[in-house]
Order: sequence, then structure tokens, then C-alpha cells
Amino acid sequence: MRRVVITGTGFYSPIGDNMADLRSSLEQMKSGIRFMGEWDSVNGLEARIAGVVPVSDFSEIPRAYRRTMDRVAMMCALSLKRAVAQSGLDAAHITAHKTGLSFGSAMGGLETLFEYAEDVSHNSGFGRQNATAFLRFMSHTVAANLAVMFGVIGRNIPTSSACTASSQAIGAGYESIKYGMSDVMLVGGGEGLHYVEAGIFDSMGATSIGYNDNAQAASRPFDISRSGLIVSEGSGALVLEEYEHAKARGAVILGEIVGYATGCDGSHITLPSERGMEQVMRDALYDAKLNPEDIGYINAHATATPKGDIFESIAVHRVFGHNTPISSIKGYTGHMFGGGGAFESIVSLMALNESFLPANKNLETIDPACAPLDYIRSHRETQIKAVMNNNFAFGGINTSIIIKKI
Amino acid sequence: MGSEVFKRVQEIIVEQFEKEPSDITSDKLLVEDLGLDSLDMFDLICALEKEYGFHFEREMGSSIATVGDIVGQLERNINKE
Repeated sequence: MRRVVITGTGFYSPIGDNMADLRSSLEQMKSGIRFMGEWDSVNGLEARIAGVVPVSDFSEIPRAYRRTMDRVAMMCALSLKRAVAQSGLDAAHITAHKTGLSFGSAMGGLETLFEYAEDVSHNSGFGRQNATAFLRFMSHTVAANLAVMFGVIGRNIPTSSACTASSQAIGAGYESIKYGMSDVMLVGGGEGLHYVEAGIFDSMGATSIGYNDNAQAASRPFDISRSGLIVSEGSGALVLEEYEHAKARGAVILGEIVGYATGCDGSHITLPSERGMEQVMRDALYDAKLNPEDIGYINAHATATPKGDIFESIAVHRVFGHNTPISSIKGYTGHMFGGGGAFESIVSLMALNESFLPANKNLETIDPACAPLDYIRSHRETQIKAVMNNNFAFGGINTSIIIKKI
Repeated sequence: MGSEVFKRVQEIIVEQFEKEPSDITSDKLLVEDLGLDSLDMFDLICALEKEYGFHFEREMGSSIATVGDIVGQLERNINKE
């Protein structure tokens, strides 16, 4: 069976865009969530805080590519550029027939879409619209734009399953290599921040609204005082490569993806199911040929919604019992939606390679309704052999990724 | 020295397509010299329509090859009004 390794990563997040800043934020338990004064004029919005990537200059991307990119595609493009640079893959490798791409986001280019819709409705109609607007907001804008910018001619698999968009992209890349369709897959995803996301989750009662004046304390996975998720933005990119392909060119191998599963609850459109979550974790372990005790750290999805965290903890308890260290990093970042899966896989990789298990930020009192687990309260320096990264999305779509040291 | 219309067209091309002002002269071919493609041409026409408040007919697009062609079209439309 062909093995799949990771040879490069890149990301943008509210807590850093490089490994040193990321680690420092996690060590100091510093969140990237802030009050959004710029949302003052949005009528009826209750959630007023968000995780923001403090970057606005993307001029590093040539205009010919940038003209059809919204913020989400630009963050993904530069994340991928860094990942490719780290991997050492040259242009000939990237443009080879068996190099493919899989990237996703929950919403496509939301900022452009809303500007476009407003302009069509209230100002210009369709008479004076840019030809490039649709290419910036379409649901597969990230995958389409990145393929053009990097010259990818292999398979291109866009994903758009909200909170599992980029974890499914990793899975698609892993399976493409494992089953011989590709030698290299460029994978990941992202999300650009827009107030409409906060409004959407407000309407469902899923946003945290009790901490508008205390952003650092707002995102509280597994804590009894949690009241919902914080919308945020960011991106993550990984270079996946067939093991022999990487070895032959002397690449530095960061880790091996040994297990992946995706599954569906098939029950409720928003309410998660512990049965579905349990199933996807068991399926990933089966794929990895590992036992639960082989996993040294679980990077939880846990968005700090009242029900989601409980169901997830119960599912984890059913599979692992109570001894496996677990944390959600959404206490630092908020919910990066389409970027979360890839970014959290990069954090999982850091846990594996730096023996650094991040703590659950703002976990003061564990919700007694959550199952008894080894919730990490302050970060640990622990050597581990394998990590599991879980993500769960609306529609009951679940993913579980297992990464192992090589 | 170009006309006022030329100067504005030059500014729009510089701003929209990140060109140097010195690159934009009347005889420059939009596609071959300035590297604009079909999407850029639509976006340029869109920007000019917003600036001057009238509509370019699609068939007019086929008669535009140079910066000077655009300026000529605009000046004829402005003079009509």
C-alpha cells in the first residue's frame, strides 16, 4: 500500500502565520479574538467579536492571479506557497501530471459576494459588473484559483462542506495518493471573515454573545460557561506526497497520514450525533491499523456550542475512555470554518513533532454534562507517536485524520 | 500631452492593472503590448462605463485594439451628448 507523508505546511490564523508565533500564542494562552468595532453599523448583530488574521496586503500574489481572488483564496494561495517552499518541490513537480490539488471553504468568496449582491440590487444592476466577480465568490474559488496560480494539471477536487471543507480536502488528497491516482497532492482550505457568518450563527443561537466585552475569555470549549462559537478566519495548506516519492528526492518528512475517515450522521441537519462522531473515529483508527491507546493526543473539533461539545466528548469517551489527552484550540482562534480542519491538522503535527500538547483555553470548570476525559488544562511537554484531528460539520458530515511520526 | 479623456483612461489602466503610467500611450495594443486578456477587457470597459456613465455596446469591443481606440470611442460618445 502506498504511504502518504506531509512535506510542507503553511497557514494564516488569528494567532500567527508561522510556527514560532503559533507556539508562542498557545504557550502564553493568547487568543486572536477581538472586538469588531467595524461591525457597529450592522443592524441586529448580537455577536460582536471575531478571530481576525491581521494581514491585508496580498500584493505578493501577481495581479493576474489576484484579480480573481477574494481574501479566502489569497490567504490559501500564500499558505500554499509557503507549504510548497518548505517541501522543496520544484516547478516541474508541481506541474506534473500526477500532482493534484484539493482545497475548500465553507462559503467561497463571501466578501465579494455581498458587495456584488448589494451593487446589483441597489446600484448598478448587471449593467456594470466586473467580469471577475463570480470567479472571486464561486464556491470552488479557492481550488480553481490555486490550480491556475500554481499550474496544477492533475486532479482538482474542490470541497465545500463548511467546517470539514479542509479536512475533507486533506482526506481527498490522502486517498488520491494512497490509491495511486496522484504522487503529490496540495491540500487545505480557508475562510475569509464576514459579519454575515456571525449573523447566520446568531440566528441559530450558536454564537457566543456573553463575552462581547471580554474577547480573550469568549471562546470556551468544554467549559460550563460557554455560550457558543466565535466566527473567525484563516487558512491552512499541506503538501502531501507519496512516501517513496518524498524519500527519493531527500525531502524532510514532517509526518505520515496513516488514517482518514469521513462519514455522515444522516439524522439532523445541525444537531450532531455522538454515534456518527464515534463511527468516524473508529473508521479512522481502522484505516490506520491503530488502537485507541496508540493515539497520544486528540485535537478536538469542540467549537464551544452548548450541545456540540457534549456530544463530541461522549463520542470520544466511547472510543478512547478517559485517558487520552484532548484539547480544542478554538479557545484561541475561534472557528475558522473551512480553514479549521487544515489549520488544526497543522497544530496536531506540531504536537507530534514538538512534543507540545496545547491546553484548552478558558477551560475553568468542565461542564459536568461533558464526558470525563483528560482535558488538557495547561500545555504539556509530552512525547507522542500519533495524533487524531477531528472535525464535524452541519449536515452531520464528520472527518477524522490520524497523523503519525515516521 | 494627451487629452483629458486620455489622462483619465491612463489613470484607470494604471490603477486597475498595476501598470506604469509611462507604459500607457495611445498606440499601445491592449492585448499584445499591455497584456490584457478578455476578462481584463470586460473589467476595463466596466470601469469606463462607471466613470463616464454610458454603455459600451458589445460590438464596439471588437473595434478596440489600442489605448487610442478607447479614447476615440469615449470622445465620440462624449461629443454626442
